[in-house]
Amino acid sequence: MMRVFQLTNGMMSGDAVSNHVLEIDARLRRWGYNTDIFAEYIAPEMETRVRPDAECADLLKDPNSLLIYHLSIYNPNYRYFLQARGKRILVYHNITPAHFFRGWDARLEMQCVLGREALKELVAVADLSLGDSEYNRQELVQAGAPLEKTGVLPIFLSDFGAQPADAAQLRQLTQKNTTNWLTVGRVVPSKGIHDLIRLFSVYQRAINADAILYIVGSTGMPAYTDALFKLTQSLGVSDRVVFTGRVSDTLLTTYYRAADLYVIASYHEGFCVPAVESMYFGVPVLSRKTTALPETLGDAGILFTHLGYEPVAEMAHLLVSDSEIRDRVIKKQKEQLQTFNSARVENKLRQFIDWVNVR
Amino acid sequence: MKTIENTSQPPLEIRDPSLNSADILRRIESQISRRRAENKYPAVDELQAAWLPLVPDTASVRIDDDYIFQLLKELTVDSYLQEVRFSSSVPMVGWLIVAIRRAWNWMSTRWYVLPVLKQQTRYNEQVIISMYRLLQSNLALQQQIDELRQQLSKLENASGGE
Repeated sequence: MMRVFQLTNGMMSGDAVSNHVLEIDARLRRWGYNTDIFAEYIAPEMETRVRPDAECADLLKDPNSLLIYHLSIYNPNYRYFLQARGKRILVYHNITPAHFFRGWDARLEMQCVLGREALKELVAVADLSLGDSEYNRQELVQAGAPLEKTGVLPIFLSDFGAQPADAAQLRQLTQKNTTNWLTVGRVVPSKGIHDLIRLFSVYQRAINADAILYIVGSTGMPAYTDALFKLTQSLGVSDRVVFTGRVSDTLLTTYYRAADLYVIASYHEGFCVPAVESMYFGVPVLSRKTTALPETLGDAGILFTHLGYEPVAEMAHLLVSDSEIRDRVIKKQKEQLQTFNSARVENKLRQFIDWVNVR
Repeated sequence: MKTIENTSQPPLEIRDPSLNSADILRRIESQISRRRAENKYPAVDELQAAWLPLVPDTASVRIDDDYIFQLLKELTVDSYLQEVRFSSSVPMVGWLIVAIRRAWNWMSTRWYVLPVLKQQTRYNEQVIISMYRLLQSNLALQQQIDELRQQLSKLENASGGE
């Protein structure tokens, strides 16, 4: 039986790509493959399941092996994919265009530039290049992947709801009868958090004084985070905007359960797992219409094509206060959720593995 | 699907056919009119002027110096140091040689070599990032020079070539 290896930048709990890698691994094992996972960064909780990337070099000399490489940011370990002698599948999770980080974080900016350069080399040698959305698949083609060697494999999302909410925290978040806006993800400029805070300030000041915006995600870019703090002060909403930082899976579930509205002001998303999580938790989504977001949301949720504060804030108000509109939006979101059904994704994965095997 | 196309209002897209999008958009417009009359909304100017540090507007600067960029890319790949993996082609006892070497390598690498490799990798990375910043800065300056030249040329033409 062919050995199948997966190689990625880093493996850590609570990370969508890491979860996807583990889900693929579980299915491959169930289908009888010998598998291994390699990464450059391995979080302590992953040390028993993941091996350092340097250890895959010898194994990849085997022509009867399959390497699945996950690209989400530049990592020098992509060269193992170029050197592998067996079959190769590239899974592209998208790389944020570098200009979003210019002036904020030179390291991240350069990693994004190099990542997109590496993409061209990777698609040139891959037997199959997969995007986790049609948007990402199109970027693969633009990078030079032959059309017939591309496909879409959505991210596995089977862990949703597995974590119970923190009951005490949930009580605290909901008992004050505040209207809770939520956004989840890294606090970086491409996520448009500055736009979101401005939009929220209009809503809070003009429509609903009892609103709170929870920004859940790592604040690893100090210059940008500091700027956002000052922005909340300038707009007089510093006591209404909460930066939680990165949270546990249990707390993340708690925030979703307590949310009245999920707002996406992001400028760039290759898929947007939190949008799907919101659909799962029955939170109406109000999103900027950009990149992969219309595809992920389908006919569900409400989109805005650019930020006009007043109409978008009023739409947010309707989603929160009009039960008929809210219920219909949530219902449609539940229907859209079926697109990402694990059985469907599993079936697609099997087809792609078989396709590569017979070539 | 209905949209608000007034230039002062952003288009909202309601794709779900089960929603009465025309009615929703009408209600939104009505609410906006009412709250505007009551002077409820903060001024857009106030929102946009709220403090956020200026980010250098270099988004339009393209990396067009292929040679330097290629060099930086190669440097980045080489900057990443890794421990050596042993293998041996000696028949019969090759596995033993490899095992002894790996055992020695494990001892020395874990406590001494790996920290040095990581330190060197970090240093290399910082050097490359500094070079990258200089490259960006250089390209931005080049663009400014080009623009100034064009302006100078226009001024000269306007003043009769003097």
